[in-house]
Amino acid sequence: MSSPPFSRRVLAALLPAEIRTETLADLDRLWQERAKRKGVASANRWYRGQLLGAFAPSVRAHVRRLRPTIRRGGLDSVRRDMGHAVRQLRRHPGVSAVVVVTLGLGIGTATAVFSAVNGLLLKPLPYGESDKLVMITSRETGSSLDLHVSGPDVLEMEAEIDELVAFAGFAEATVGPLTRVDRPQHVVTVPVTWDLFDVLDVEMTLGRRFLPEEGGPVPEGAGPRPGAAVVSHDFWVRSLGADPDAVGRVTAYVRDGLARMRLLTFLVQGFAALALGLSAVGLLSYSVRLRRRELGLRMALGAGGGGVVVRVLLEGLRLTAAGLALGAVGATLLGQVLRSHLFGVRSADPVTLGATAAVVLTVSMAAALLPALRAARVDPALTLRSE
Amino acid sequence: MGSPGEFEQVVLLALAGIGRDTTGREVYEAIVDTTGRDASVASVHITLNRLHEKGWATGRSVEPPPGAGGKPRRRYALSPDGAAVLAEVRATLDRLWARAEGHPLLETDE
Repeated sequence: MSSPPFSRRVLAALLPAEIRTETLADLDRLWQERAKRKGVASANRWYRGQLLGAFAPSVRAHVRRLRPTIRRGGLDSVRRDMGHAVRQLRRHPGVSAVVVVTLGLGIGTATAVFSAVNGLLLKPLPYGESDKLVMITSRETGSSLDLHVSGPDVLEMEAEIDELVAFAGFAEATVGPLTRVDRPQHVVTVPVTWDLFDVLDVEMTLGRRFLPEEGGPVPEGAGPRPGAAVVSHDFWVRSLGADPDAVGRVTAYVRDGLARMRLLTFLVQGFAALALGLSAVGLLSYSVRLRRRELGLRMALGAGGGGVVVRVLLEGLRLTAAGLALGAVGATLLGQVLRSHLFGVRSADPVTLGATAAVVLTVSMAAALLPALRAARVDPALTLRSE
Repeated sequence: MGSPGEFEQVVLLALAGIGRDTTGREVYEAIVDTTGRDASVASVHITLNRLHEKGWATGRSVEPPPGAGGKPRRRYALSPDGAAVLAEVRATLDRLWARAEGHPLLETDE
């Protein structure tokens, strides 16, 4: 019969070294007495309460230990530690490169993907009442493949589904040459029903929406109809020189957003953040382990646990900063690739990059704290002997 | 010297109440018995350690009795400096109480 092992382990990690053994021993004995008197469940509850109660004073005690180290050396000590961190990076170029590249890849990918995802899925669609929009696809029984809906099916559904106020359709995008502009080029075109912009409630910047006579079935015996097109804002700026007199040219984006996709995206982002955090913990733990001997030597020479914590944290910060710089470059490059494939995605969304940087800094500092605290508990005699 | 925080005062007074070299666990039990509320064992140990560093409590390692086994335990006691800050806190509180005397809401039936 013994105190709850998980809470005990957390407490052991949390408590300052100088009172750890005695506090844990006292808690063990008090837990046993309580378990005998009131039962194991009550004793476990009490133990968890003790764990919660230990949190704030332990953190305060650690901070109090660190304060003189930081104050004594002031900026000089930080500069010295930074210089030391750089030398360490040079001494272990392999590990440093792995850490920096991993962080860079993680940050770059996360930023680029988030920029795209944010533009496509998370931001509300730029349509009036966009939360009431649905996209209909068809699926064969037993298949998980979403297929297009045929034109006649759309007309049938329009007649039969009363819950939907308005229907509009668009067909698959095609890429084709466009020659009646200054510079012949390939453009993406999407055939749509005439009422699409009414359903999406899209305001035209210039010109007008489609008219009924510009869409729908062609009457028997009628000649070919004059075509009408709505062009994107990008196209208007790029190919039509943003000419305000170009009539019948509009701003419109066609995107489809689905709640399910958003949820999925959130999950993917969550897992990406988790993976980033875990890899940061692993990498920093590894780099601390490589330096066990050096840390042991420092502590044998009288370096306090606080100094070691600061040193390891600073090193983590350096690696993260290098990774961030690499990630920013990666995100910009990747963003440009994405931009050429997707509408409305900026190549390097500064807000996203900033947010990612902040998240990554926080995560990696939290990740560095664990190996840092472990490093501060290095037993100098043991590490020096084992080498 | 600074003035002790609330929990530091509680621990110092518990040390004074016990009146001899004592362990963190005894201090914890004294606080729980007197206040009727549970306290954090870790807080007591951390506070005792800090009081020792500030010179308000004496602390020494005591080997366990022969045959008992186990690690040496730290034993604490109130130091003269600790007694001085307690007296100072009490004097301050007494002065404040003297001024508050006579307030109708503070009158007690005796």
